[in-house]
Amino acid sequence: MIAALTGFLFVRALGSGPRGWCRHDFLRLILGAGTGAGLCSAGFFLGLLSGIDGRLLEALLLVAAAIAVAVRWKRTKCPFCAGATGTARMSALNIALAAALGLLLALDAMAFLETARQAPHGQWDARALWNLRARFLYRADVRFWRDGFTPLLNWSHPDYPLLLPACIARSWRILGRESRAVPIALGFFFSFGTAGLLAASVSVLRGTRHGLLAGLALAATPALFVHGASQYADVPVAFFVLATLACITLADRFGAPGFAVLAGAAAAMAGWTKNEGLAWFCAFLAARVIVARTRHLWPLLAGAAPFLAVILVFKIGVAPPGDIFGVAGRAGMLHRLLDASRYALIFRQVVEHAWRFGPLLVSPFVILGVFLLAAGVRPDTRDRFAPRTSALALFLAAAAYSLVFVLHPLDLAWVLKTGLDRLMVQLWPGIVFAVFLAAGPT
Amino acid sequence: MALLALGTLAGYRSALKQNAGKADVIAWNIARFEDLRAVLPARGIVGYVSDADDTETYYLAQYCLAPVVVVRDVSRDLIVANAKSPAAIAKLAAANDLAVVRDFHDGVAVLRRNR
Repeated sequence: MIAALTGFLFVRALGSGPRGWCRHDFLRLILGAGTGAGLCSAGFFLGLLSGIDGRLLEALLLVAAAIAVAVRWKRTKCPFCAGATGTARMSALNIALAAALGLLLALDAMAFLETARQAPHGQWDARALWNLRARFLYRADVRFWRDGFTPLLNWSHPDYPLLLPACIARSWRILGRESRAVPIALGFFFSFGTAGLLAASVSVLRGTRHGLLAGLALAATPALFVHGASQYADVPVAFFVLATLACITLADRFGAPGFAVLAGAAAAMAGWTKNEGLAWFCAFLAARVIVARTRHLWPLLAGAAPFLAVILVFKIGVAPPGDIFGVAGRAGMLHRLLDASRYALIFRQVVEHAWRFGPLLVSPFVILGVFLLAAGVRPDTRDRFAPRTSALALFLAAAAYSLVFVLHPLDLAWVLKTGLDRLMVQLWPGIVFAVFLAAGPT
Repeated sequence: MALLALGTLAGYRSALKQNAGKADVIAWNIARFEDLRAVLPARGIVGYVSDADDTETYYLAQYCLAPVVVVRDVSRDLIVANAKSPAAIAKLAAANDLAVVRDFHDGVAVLRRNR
């Protein structure tokens, strides 16, 4: 709750809003809760490093956010209410779409709760990586928390960043005990928050109908909710990938540099969640500079800088070398890079996994493609940069992921079998966002 | 829309079915290792030995015993033993020249190097 409130106040300060509550505060609340998770986990980690109580740092962040909101109080207004796309009144079709979305989300919630009941400690990665590290951070004395980062535990990837483990450990610290409900609640927020963020941001940018359809596309992706209930970090990465694209589009559309700050922060928070998130940050930054040059570049970098600094401190001062780019991983790397059969295997597996990804007999990628063909590629004329930035960033991220597969020192078939679906989950909400941003009116 | 809902339901059914069998085994293993935690030091490194080549159970042992670091190495002072059956603990100890410090009679035990 404290994390969500801190994040919400920061989003209110940077992304503006009315003095009271408006319907777009749903979007700000979701963005704020995700941002708050990132801020509080970074605060907890810095607290461990410095010996200062992380709760004090959180309190300072909360006060800073409240002051920022107070400073802007007189000039504050909601830019989305002023420039709303379409009408707020619901047509019969929109009501039907909203009902369908509600039904699918209810199904998702039931499946989420059943998965969480079956595996309250999470699935493999959650136990071996994220919750294990959270236990080290919480259980070890403040002098010994680094025990969890020994190279003896290299199988548990101690080089992976700490957004989730630190967020879980700081919540346990506040509760005063370990509770399995904390990682489950985080998984719930990031899964359903991603669907909510997609529907809300597309509604602001392309109208309610597009927003509901985009929400439906995500609600009909069981992989997102099963991975969320499994407490995998890929779902928070998916949230931050989507938040990056949504915020930069809002920044461009409404001339709001505050949202560019949030976009930079979201991209860097993806990197504070998982190493793949760092690839996302680089892909997004490169795409943005290629497409939009320096527009909103400085606010974007300013938003990213604090989280990048925390990641740098973690990587240099705490994390052991990773298995891919460490000394052992570099052996034979050139040979793997030049091995054409690896590229062929990756291509085959990507096609196969993309076909099986989703609930229907037909791949959701095909369904999205058909939708785009039917609706036509007709982005809003006010969005000069966002559709191209989104498409290029997602393409570059996918290319970076593929390159990592090419270079990976472990058995490629096994790595693809266990990792491809999760990587698709990371990019899928961003892909849906990009498609609905580019699609013409339905 | 009905097709979408049915497809989503089918997707969940297969995912939940996949996990159902494993969940009980994991819960049982977690319960066994949590008991063990009370008799280990608050921190440090302990060894791990098992009569099964089961990586997942070793990972579960580490998950339960954190912040103690568990390594697959029988040369440590204290060693966590994980056997397929309670009766196999003595055999596992003897095979590695270890003495039983505490046997939990559910296939896990704490062992120590024979001096």
